[in-house]
Amino acid sequence: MDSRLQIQLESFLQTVRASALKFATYRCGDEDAALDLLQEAMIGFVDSAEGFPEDAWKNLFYKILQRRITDRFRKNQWRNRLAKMFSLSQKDDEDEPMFEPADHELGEHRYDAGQLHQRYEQALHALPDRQREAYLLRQWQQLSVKQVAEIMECSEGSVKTHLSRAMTNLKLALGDWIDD
Amino acid sequence: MTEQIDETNMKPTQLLQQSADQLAQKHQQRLHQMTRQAVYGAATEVRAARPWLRWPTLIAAPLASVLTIVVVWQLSQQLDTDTMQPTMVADSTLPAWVQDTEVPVAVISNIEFYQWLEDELDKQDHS
Repeated sequence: MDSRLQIQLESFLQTVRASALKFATYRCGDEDAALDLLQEAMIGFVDSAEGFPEDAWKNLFYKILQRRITDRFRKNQWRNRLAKMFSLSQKDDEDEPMFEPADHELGEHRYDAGQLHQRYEQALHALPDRQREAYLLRQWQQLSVKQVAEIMECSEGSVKTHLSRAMTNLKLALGDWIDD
Repeated sequence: MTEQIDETNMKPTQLLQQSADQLAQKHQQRLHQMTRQAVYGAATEVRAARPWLRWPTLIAAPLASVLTIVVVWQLSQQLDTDTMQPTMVADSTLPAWVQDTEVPVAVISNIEFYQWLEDELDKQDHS
């Protein structure tokens, strides 16, 4: 790998790593695990980025990160199943987090300092995984529906559905403020 | 109060980015190391994982094989010459009858020894 490409890759990773860490943390709920996944994704990305044009790097990077997250999720599922079989754990991590009761008037509220941020984080955590992924990749990372579909390995129609549901749920929790 | 106004005026994605930046700031050192390792450590790791791909190995391995074959072949040839073939000695220090004979030197040496031994034993008997 030539040094010019290495500089480009380093620069790219510097720009995406904060968002990617946040994305991974939302998905696995644990900063240390998210850091490990991000490191794996970075290494995987550098190994394969050479053959891709630079404008496709973001898509490729999130695709790799998403796969790492999914692999980890599957491993955890198996571990939980085995643990259940041997009655080592009664914890069920497979359940989707329950969405908090909607507060239709939240949009009209004036929040205390930090309260809106906290509320937004809670609402995002409460979203089902697929809805959250679609929302973060499309609304936050500004990827196209097609790119999000590639990363999530589903159809564009499914992405639109997940996104629409995510927006509805977030609006229920946060009111008009979420109308982006 | 200013923070409240700023936060509610921010778009959700801006708030999200702010949160991501704060998280990255918290793990700044680790993220920096991870980035460096991914970019500059990847090539080294690949080479370390596949040592047989290093160029000196690629050259040295066949060379060492050829050298080994040559040395073994030479040694086996030498061994054949020393042990299997009778030594047809053409040494001027040896008696003419030894040089003329087809019998190996080792065998002749033994005959000479037994002859000497026999002579010595005879001498002892007579004395």
